Amino acid sequence: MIKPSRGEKIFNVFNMTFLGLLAFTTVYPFVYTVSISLSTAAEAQSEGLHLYPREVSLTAYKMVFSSKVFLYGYANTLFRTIVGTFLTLLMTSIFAYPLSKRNLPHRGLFMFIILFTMLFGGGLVPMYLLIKNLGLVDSRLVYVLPGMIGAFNVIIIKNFFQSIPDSLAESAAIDGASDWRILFQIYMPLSKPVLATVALWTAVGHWNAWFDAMIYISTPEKLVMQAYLREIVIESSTAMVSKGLIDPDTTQFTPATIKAATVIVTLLPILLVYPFIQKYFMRGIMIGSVKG
Amino acid sequence: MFKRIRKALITAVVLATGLGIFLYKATPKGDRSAYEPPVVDWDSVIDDPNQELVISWLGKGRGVEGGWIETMLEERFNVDYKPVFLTFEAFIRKKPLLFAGGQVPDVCFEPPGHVKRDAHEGLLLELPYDLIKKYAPTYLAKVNDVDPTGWIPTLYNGKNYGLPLNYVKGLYPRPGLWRMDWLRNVGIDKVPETLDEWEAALRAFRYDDPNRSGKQDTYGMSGDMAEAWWRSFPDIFLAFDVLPYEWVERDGKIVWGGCLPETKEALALLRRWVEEDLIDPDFAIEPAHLVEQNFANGKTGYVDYEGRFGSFQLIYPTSYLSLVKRLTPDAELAVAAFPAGPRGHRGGRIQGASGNALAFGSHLADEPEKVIRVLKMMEAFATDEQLAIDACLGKQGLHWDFVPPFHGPGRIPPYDDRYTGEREALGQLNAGSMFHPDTPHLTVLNKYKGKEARAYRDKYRRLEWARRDALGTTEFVPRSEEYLGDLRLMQQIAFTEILTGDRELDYFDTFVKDWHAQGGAILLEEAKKMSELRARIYKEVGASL
Amino acid sequence: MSKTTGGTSFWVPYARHRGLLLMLVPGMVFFFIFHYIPMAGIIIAFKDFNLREGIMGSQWNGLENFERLFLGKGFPDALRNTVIISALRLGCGFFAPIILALLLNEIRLSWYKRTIQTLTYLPFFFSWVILGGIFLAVFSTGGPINSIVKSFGGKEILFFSSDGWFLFMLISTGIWQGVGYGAIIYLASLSGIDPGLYEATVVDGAGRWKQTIHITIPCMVPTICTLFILSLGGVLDAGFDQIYNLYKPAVYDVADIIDTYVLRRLTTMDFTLGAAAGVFKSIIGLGAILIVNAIVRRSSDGELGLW
Repeated sequence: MIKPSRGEKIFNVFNMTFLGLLAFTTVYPFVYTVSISLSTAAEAQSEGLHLYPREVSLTAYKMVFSSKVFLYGYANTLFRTIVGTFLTLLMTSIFAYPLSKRNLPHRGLFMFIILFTMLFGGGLVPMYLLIKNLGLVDSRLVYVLPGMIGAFNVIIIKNFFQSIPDSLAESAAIDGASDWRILFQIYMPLSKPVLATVALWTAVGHWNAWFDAMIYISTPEKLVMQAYLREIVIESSTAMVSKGLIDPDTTQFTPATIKAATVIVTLLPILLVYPFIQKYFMRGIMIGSVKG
Repeated sequence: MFKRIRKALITAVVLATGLGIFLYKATPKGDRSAYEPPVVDWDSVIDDPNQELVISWLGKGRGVEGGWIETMLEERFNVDYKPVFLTFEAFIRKKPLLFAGGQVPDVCFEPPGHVKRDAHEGLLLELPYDLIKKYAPTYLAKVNDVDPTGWIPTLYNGKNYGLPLNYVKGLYPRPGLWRMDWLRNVGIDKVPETLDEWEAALRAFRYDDPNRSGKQDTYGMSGDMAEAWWRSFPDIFLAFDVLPYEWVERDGKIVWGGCLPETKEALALLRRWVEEDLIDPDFAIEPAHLVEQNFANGKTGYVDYEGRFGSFQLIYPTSYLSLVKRLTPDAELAVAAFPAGPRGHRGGRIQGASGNALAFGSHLADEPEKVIRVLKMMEAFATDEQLAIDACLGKQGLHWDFVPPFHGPGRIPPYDDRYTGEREALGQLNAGSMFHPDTPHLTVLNKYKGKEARAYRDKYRRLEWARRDALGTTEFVPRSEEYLGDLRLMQQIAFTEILTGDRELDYFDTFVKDWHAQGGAILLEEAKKMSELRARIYKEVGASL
Repeated sequence: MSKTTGGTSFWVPYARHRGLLLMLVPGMVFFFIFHYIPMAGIIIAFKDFNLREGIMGSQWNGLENFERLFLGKGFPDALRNTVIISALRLGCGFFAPIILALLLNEIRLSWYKRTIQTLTYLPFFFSWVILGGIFLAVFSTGGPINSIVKSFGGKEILFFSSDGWFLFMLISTGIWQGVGYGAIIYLASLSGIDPGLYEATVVDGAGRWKQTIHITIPCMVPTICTLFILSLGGVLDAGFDQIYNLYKPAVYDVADIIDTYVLRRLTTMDFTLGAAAGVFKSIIGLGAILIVNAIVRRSSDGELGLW
């Protein structure tokens, strides 16, 4: 192995320092929120950077976990994230595979149709009417169906599929494999990095989603966690009052600690899941199948 | 390759042009005609109390069908509610969608301004004054007594479309809070009562080290010019007898407060205070919660609006007294007096108790007995005190009771949990509940307020000091939607710049000209018409000016 | 495997690829239902839409809504701000994740690399409702940052209430929020580069820097191109959520964008203005994509580009 030159060593030092500082700033809001969530209500109001709570208090977390609505919300969010991500990966891959084949008839036309949807949309009113006519209003299916396949993801996965040598598919076809088998047994295993990325994007999107819950769902037990969180985080904000979003009559003051605790509880699972997904970003080296 | 692109581009341009011409030609000029509601012969409508009516009800509040209040009311009035529960934000966004989807409810809660819009869209049924006088006379009298300006927003095109609701909390002015310990430290032993005394106090707060820290780390006060125009130094402006962001009456005429010479006087004073560093320089960007936080953290010595009974209670860990005592155990707070200006004026701004309304879907022209039933219900609330309390708070002893420490009404566990309380659609006395969207009359409310809290209110938050928009609420003036938002914004920016010194004081005169030119003159005309209209409405409903 | 039929040769490609075409069907149905049917609602932008008459029943009013939009006072400013902010975001913000991915790639210590990677994507998960509050407090004149400025003898900086600083803070915090998360896809594409390519250059005596320029970046170019062109679709979006939670009247003249402008004028039932603005933004976005895609295709001999 070649020894790094002096220039490279200096670069490495700077690089690691710079990245370390960056990571420090990015972690600050998180640290701040954790600290507030563990503070007493009075301390949360005080000035300062709040890097750590001076007195630790678990009241906020106790209150969050004892709230039934929150627990329902968690369950709904889990449902939506797992089912939604799975459906998206599956359906988008199925859809992207044919589009990655250059000799597909009218390929350009299909691509344009897809791309067009990324740009033009009818807006909220027609969407609401559609959902209503499909009977999806106040149904949990509304969380996973309408957003199942997105043009952006189709393009990303399709491009990745395109980078896989055609020879693999051809040799499999000669051996009698159908398109479906080629897709599931060859392409998808080789696409782990991109599938992991899309999975992460999609999962995070579902985890953080709240707008569709607010618009389409009326039963409190079917709400997702973020919709509930939004209610309590922004409700006592003057900004929202003057922007006409909050009813000045009935604001119930939710302590900053509970807001913070709710944020952390919604955040933690994602943080814990990510390191496990990380390893899928390292694609295995392709050996043999083609060259042999 | 190039040829293809060129062909595609040419086709696109041709298509676009064709479309453009078609669309332009297809334009019918002129306004949509105003909506004329279906006519109902009310005299012939009979509401048989023995007949159960199904009423779909769009209120504001979270809840679940079948709660205690709902069941109680259903039994009493022989109705079957089909409620739709929404939080306020969801309500604002979802209401138009529900209507677009054809789900207009029978009864709908209408925030300020919605009645006009919904009536314009043809979604509401006319509610003649005589009908209300016939079936809900006591309720009508209550509205006239508490805040008759509520009749203004329910009027559209000469007809009434809603039943005004009252929000009694909006009647009481809110004084500010002083750091009494700081005042003593700088040698002032009473709460400032005139503007001169205020200035002396603020100056001392800035330069005389009131918190004995040895550093010049304190300011007199801050303000909220960033978001809430109603919190930008209202007490100071009122000392000059003006409400800068609202309509004011002068010599029998309605004028815009922000254009009056008194406003310029107030700005001059404030500008001087900013220059002399008496006011926290962050006032231009600080949102309200930071203003409050600065006071709680001992950065400023005065905060407006927070002089409530609850601010003084050490029993609440986040009351202002508790918060300042955390940092300075000897801290003391005192209720501010509204400062008296050079000509002796003083006052505190209030929002007023009007704006919300209850409206009925236009399809009820086929089921008019429902309207009568609901009117009778509102009448019952106004006459039967016990019913109103039950419908608002729930059952005494089960959901709520007079609780220590102040012996005002409070929830009993498990209903003090937000979720459990919501399931029953319980509300609050000050704000109403889902099925009782109104607040009871003051005489009733006073019986249900803790004695200490009531004494505090009577001493420090007197109704005689309340000042409000001359027409009730600024948005009641027609065409406000088109201009008011932008005008207020322009005013906020102009005033901020004058105060920070970015502009000279005489820029105020330019602002006044701009204000008139950019729609203010139109609104002024409308306000004048509105004032005349108001006189007519009051005569019809029997209210006094 | 070809089907021998006596029929026309028109159907042959369809038949040969019937497996593939079949796979397209569920997706096309999905797009039709959930994208193209609601897209019909675009006509709201060309109608005097009111709820009483509904979408179909409302009268056409041609380009009147667009007139109202473009001639409205404040629109030209909003448009100008939108373009400026979008350009700044694209210019600075697009490349930040790429650079971060490259820098991360250079870290030899695997645990350090993974930790940094995990930490840098954290801000992405916080909504601007929360982040806005934090930034306004931290950068206020009494906050910690200004304390540091003052201790160096400087005067307080109005980070969020003076025009120039506001833009700077807007773009930097926007980048900061998304850089770690955006780096993920570039890292994924970096991991797909065949190590054999690097080994070949080492023999020629290339250091890391040369390797980066000649191998890493060229391998990333397809991904970069795709993402860049795709992001052009939202060229006039300019980040509504962030701006909405950070802007104040004091900075409206640089911060007001098309979306906030429309929001301020929106009365509850007035969907037409928003619809017109949406159509306008979409057309511009489409144009941007078409133009840039054509340029990219031409300069790469058809290799790169979306189609």
